[in-house]
Amino acid sequence: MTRLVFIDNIFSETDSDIRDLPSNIVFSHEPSSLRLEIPRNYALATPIDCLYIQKNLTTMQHSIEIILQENSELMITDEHQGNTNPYTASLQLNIIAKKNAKLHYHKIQNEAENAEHYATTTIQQAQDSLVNMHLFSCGAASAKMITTAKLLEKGAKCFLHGIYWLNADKQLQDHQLHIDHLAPYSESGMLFKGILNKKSRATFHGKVHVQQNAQHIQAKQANHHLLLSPQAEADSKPELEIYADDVKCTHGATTGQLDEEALFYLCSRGLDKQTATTLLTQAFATDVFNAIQNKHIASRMQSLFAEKMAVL
Amino acid sequence: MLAIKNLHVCIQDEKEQVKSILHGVDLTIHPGEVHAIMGPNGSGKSTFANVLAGRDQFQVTDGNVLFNDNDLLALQPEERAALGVFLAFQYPIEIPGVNNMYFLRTALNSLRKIKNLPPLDAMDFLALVKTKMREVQMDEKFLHRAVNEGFSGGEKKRNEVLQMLLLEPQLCILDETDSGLDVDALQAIAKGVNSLRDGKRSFIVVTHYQRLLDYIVPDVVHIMAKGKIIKSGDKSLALEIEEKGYGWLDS
Repeated sequence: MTRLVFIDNIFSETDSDIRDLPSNIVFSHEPSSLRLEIPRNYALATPIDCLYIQKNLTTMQHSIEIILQENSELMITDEHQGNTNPYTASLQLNIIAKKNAKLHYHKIQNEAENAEHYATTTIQQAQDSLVNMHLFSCGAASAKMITTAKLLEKGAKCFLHGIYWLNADKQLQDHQLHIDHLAPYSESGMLFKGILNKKSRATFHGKVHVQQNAQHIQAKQANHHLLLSPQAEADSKPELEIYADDVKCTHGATTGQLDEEALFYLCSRGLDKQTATTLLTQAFATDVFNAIQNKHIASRMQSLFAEKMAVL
Repeated sequence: MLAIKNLHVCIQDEKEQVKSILHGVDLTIHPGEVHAIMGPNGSGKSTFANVLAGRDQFQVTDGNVLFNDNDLLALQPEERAALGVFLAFQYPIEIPGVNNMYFLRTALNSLRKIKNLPPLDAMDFLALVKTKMREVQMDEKFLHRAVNEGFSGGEKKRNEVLQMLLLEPQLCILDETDSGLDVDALQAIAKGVNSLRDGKRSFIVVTHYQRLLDYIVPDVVHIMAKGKIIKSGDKSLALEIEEKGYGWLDS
């Protein structure tokens, strides 16, 4: 597996491992930027793992460019960590998927608890390309993530999945997603689930925009919140804006608490309240993690989630 | 084993009106006994079963329950389970996203931990659960599904009895476990229950029908009506009810 490690925004030769990175892949880095380009007709067999660690920097800005040429394929994981308090991490990620290219992008936002995390992601997709994004966001005192996907040509498919977990008073996460269907026969999905404990707050704003010429498109959008504390607050705004007339679009949002009946059932079998709560909370997130194709990455995210839940 | 004295229970409905359900239930069960509780709809049978398991929507306003010298009503549901109280639910809830096998193993290992026993690993547990599943004639595919999700009525009840066989409780409370079952499922479930009868373990069998009691033969039959036990007798009382209904008991 290829491993790219950036410490305080600088590529760390000693911590990284690029022996398996094929030479036909364009890989360049400078302080504060990374560029990856997958050539035509090439599918990278092993995932690339990127790790960003903040040690001493108080402000970190980084830009990442991922370009998939025609008919190429890439699986990549971005993880963000830090051990200084406080700091600000700002990320700009630009993704270009050319015709028939496939990208599986995973992001783990696990910043230090007093950090701020801002991320802007743009995705541009050509004909019949596929972009799958899976986010697990659990760190930072304040996190804001804006993702914009443009389905420029027919047959482009974009699926954005996310779990966000907040477990501290005054913790804030803001997720803004925008998918723009600009061409016919394109398809999109948004499935974001938030779990909030203590006096935390999350906002979700998801928008699917279907342009007039984008006929025969499919778009699904769902946002669900689970509140583990009566003081947690979640705001959800799922939006569809449709100008074409031959489309299949659905959207929905829910906010709720743990099912008391299910809790009683589990406790009556000997599970203590915390174990039962953890089990039901993980169950709430299951379908989002299950959507991850690479089981290794899915279980890595789930283990991190379980670890975070252990201090409930 | 179980001594219930003067148990009064009420519930607060959605309009916050307090409704009294049980008013003065007395019941004593000795080790190894099987007690059947019969009664018309709305007589408080299910409430009674749920109160013993610790469902908190019910409020106990008077009376006490001693289970092997423990004040049962002061304990949380998981503490009752740890002492060996088990309720087989009338309507087992579906829990999407929680794998049935994982749930069963977590439950068993939770109780083993309290008893200072080492947890069973996945392999040992699988061997154990497969043996128990054969006893209730349950297909192994149900291990890999979410807890009760998409199970038929009969499969849900088999899953309840499977849990009972795994957890080996001291007091098994069956809340209308026979309702909605075909004869085959009824026999499989009765067989599972009977395999647990060892002369020490006790049972409370809540049912509407005599039919179940052909398979699980009770030592004592109680008739509950309007929140009280109005008559107790041996197994012939159940046959009498089957023949005459409940009406004659009112007079």
